[in-house]
Amino acid sequence: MLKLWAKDFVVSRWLWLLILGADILYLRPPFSQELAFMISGIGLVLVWVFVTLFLEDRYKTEVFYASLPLKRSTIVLARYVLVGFLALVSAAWTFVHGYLLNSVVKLRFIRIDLRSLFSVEGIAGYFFFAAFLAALFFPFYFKLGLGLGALIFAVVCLALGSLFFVFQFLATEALHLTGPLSMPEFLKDPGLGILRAIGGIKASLGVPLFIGALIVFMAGMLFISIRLSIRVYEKREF
Amino acid sequence: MPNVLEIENLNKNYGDFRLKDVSFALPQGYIMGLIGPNGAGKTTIIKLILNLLRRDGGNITVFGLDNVNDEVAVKSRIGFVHDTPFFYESLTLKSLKATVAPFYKDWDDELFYRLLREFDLPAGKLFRKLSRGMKMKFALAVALSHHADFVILDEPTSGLDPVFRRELLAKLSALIQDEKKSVLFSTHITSDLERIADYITFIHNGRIVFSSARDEVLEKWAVVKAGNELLNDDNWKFFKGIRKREFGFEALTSDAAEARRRFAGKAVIEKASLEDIMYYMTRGGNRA
Repeated sequence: MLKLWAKDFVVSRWLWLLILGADILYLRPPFSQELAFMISGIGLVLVWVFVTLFLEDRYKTEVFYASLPLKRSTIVLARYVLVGFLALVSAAWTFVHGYLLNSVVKLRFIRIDLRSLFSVEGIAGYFFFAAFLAALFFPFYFKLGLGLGALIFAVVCLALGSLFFVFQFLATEALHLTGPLSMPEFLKDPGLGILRAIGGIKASLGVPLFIGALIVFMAGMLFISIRLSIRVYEKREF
Repeated sequence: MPNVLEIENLNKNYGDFRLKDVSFALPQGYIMGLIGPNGAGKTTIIKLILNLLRRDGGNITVFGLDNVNDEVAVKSRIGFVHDTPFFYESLTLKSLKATVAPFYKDWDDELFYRLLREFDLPAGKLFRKLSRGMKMKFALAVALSHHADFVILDEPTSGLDPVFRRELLAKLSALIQDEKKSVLFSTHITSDLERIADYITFIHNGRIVFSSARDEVLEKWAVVKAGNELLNDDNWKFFKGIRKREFGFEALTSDAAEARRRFAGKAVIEKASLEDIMYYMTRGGNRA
C-alpha cells in the first residue's frame, strides 16, 4: 500500500510544491469564515486526489499498474487510506497555517478564528465530510472510471445538496422550526450553522456517545463503500 | 521439463468476439510465438494471463499456480510488455523506475541502468520525449530488470526499426540460455519468430489452429503450386487454403509428406513459411 502512495506522490509532486508555495506566499484565500478555511483544506485533498486520478486516466497507466504483482483490493484500499491520510495532513496543516497567520504574521485582514474549528464539532464535521465524500466517490470511480464516475458523483452530490436545502427550507419555513438549523442563520454563515447542528447532536447524545456513534457510523459507511469498490474493481476489465 | 504456462479450455465472450476453448502449454526454458492476424485474440489471451480480463471458463496456471487465486505470487515472477507502453509521460525514466521498482522484491537497479545504457535511453529523459521504439525499449528494460522467470511480450517489435528488432530477438534468445526463463511473444511479424521461437501457437478467430514446435510446423506444412487441372474435389478438401489463378493455383497443406506422395512430379512443393501459413489460413480459406 505504501508503495502505491509513494508512486502517487512521485507522480503529482509538482502539485504539492505548488500548494506549499502558494501557502507560504499566502496566496490561499484568507477566508473570513473559519469553516470555509477548513473546507479549503478538504478542497486541496480533493484536488490532489483528482489530479492523481486524472494523470492515471490521461496516460492510461491503470493497465500497467494492474499488471504488477498487486491485488486489486490493495489498489482500492490504498486510495481510501490515502484520502484519510491526506485529510489528516490537511487538517493539521490548516491549523498550523492558521496559527502562523494569526500569531506570527498578525495581519488583521487575514486573521482567522480557529477556536470553534478546533473543537469536537469542528473536527468531527471535517472528518465526517471527508469520509462521506470518499465513501460516495470511490465506488463510482472504480466502477465507471474517472470521467463517468466523477460525473455521476457530481450529480449525486448536487442531488444530496438540493435535498439538504429542501429539508432546511421545509424545517425552517414550512414547519416554523428555529434553532441550530434555522435558514437565515444558516445562510449567514453555513460553516457555523453546520457546527451548531453538530453541536446540537453532541449535546443531546453527550460527548462519549456522540464520538462513539460517529466512529461507528463512519466505519460502517466506509466499510460498505470499500466492499462495494473492491467488488466492482475486481470485475473491472482493462 | 515442467510447463511454465498451461492454458486449458480458456473461454472469453465479448459478444461480437469469442475466445473458444483455447488450450496450449509452454515448457520452461523456451520461447513461444503467438501468431495470428489482428483481432485473432492474441492480446486477449495475454490479458487473461495477467488477470486484466476475467475469463468466462477454463484454467490458466503459471508456474503451476492459478493466475487469479495466486495473482501476486504469479505476477511477481512475470515480466510484461504491453502492445502500447503506458507510463506517466510527465516523468523521467529514472522517476518511472522509482514508481515500479518497489513492487518487485528482486528488482535489480544495476541491471536496469545497464539495460538503459544498452538501449541508449538517457535516465533523465522525460518519457513523453521518447519515440515509440524507445518507449518499447524502456518497457522491455522494466520487464527484464526484476529477473522475471517468465516474460510476456505483446507485439513488442511493432514500430521498432529492424536493427533494434534484431537486438531484441538476440536479447530474448540470450535470456533463455539458462533454461529456466521462458518467453511468450505475440506478433504478426512472423519472420521474427522463425528466428527465435521454439514453439508456435497460431490463433485465428479466437480458436487455436495449432500449437507445436517450430521445426515440426515448418516441416509439416507446405505450399503446393500446380496447374488448375489438379484441383479436383478430393484435392480441394486436402488443402487448408487455396489461392486460385487463371493458369494454376497455390495451396497450403498441413501434411507435406502426403502432398509429396499425392503430387509427385506434378506440382512444385515448397516448405511453408509462418507468413504463408498465416496468409492462407486467414485469406485463402479454401475459397480464394
